[in-house]
Amino acid sequence: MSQSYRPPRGDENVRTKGPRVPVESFGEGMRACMQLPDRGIGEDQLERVRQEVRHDPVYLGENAQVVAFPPHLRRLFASMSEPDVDRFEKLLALDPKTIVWISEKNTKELTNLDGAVEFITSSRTAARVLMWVCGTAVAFVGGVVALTKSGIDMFSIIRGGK
Amino acid sequence: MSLRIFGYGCLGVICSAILGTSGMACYWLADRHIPVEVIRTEVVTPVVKPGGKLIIRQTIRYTRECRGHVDRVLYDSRTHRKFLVDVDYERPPRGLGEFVVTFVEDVPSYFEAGEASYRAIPVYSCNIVHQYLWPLTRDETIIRFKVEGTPF
Repeated sequence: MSQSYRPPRGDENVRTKGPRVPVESFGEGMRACMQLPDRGIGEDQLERVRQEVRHDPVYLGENAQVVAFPPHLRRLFASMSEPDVDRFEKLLALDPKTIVWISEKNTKELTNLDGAVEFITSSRTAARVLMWVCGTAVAFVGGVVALTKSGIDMFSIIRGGK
Repeated sequence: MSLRIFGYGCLGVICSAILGTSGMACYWLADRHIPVEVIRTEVVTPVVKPGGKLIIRQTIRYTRECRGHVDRVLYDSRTHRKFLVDVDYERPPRGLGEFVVTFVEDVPSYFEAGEASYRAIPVYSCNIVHQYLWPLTRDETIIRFKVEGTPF
């Protein structure tokens, strides 16, 4: 703190009735010359924090009994929106083994992991396509066999009187 | 990216192979038209001596160029059996059309007197599915004749 801080005294600049005593004025004069030291403990620290907190997005009022977090944590909490909080909770809910595993991987390995996942997904899609094609072929052949056994030639139109 | 294109290419080749093969298989499976018809059968020698010759005349119409195989057997009234030479051809030897064919077969001397029969079981195949999976067959031809007398 650059400026010295003097706690407000209720009776400052209020002269009570009484004779002008040189001692009081002497004291005042001394106080005017003196710079009070920065006191970083107790009530002063609390008041300093209150000053900082006054401009936070969540402000509980002048007489709040809450002690605020250090500035870096207040900045973090102030920057998190609702979806951010959900994501943060998901991160915390991750299995510790997962976090250890990811932290051991380097960027190249993580990019390769992307590639591996893509490979698996595309292989699965290809398998699904093949499944459909094979299913269609089997159904078609089965249908033709059934029709043939009952005497109907499906391809007679294109066979042309052979 | 190029790997993806390669993958699509492979998938396309495999799928077209599956579809193409099954399509061809279906085309061949559906074909059940018998390529040979027997118009008329005439037994020239209705009575045969054992050891003699059985003569059968048939009018056969060939409508398709297909492979033919005929198993031929002679049976007599006393359970004797004689296999005759098979008829095997890849394509009708005289081509398509209607032809009269005369079969001259030896009746064995151990055939005993009584009712006898000549049986012909034809199996045709016009494509690969017929050949290895489901040949074309027709009811066998049964021609009855009589065996009478002694061999000599």
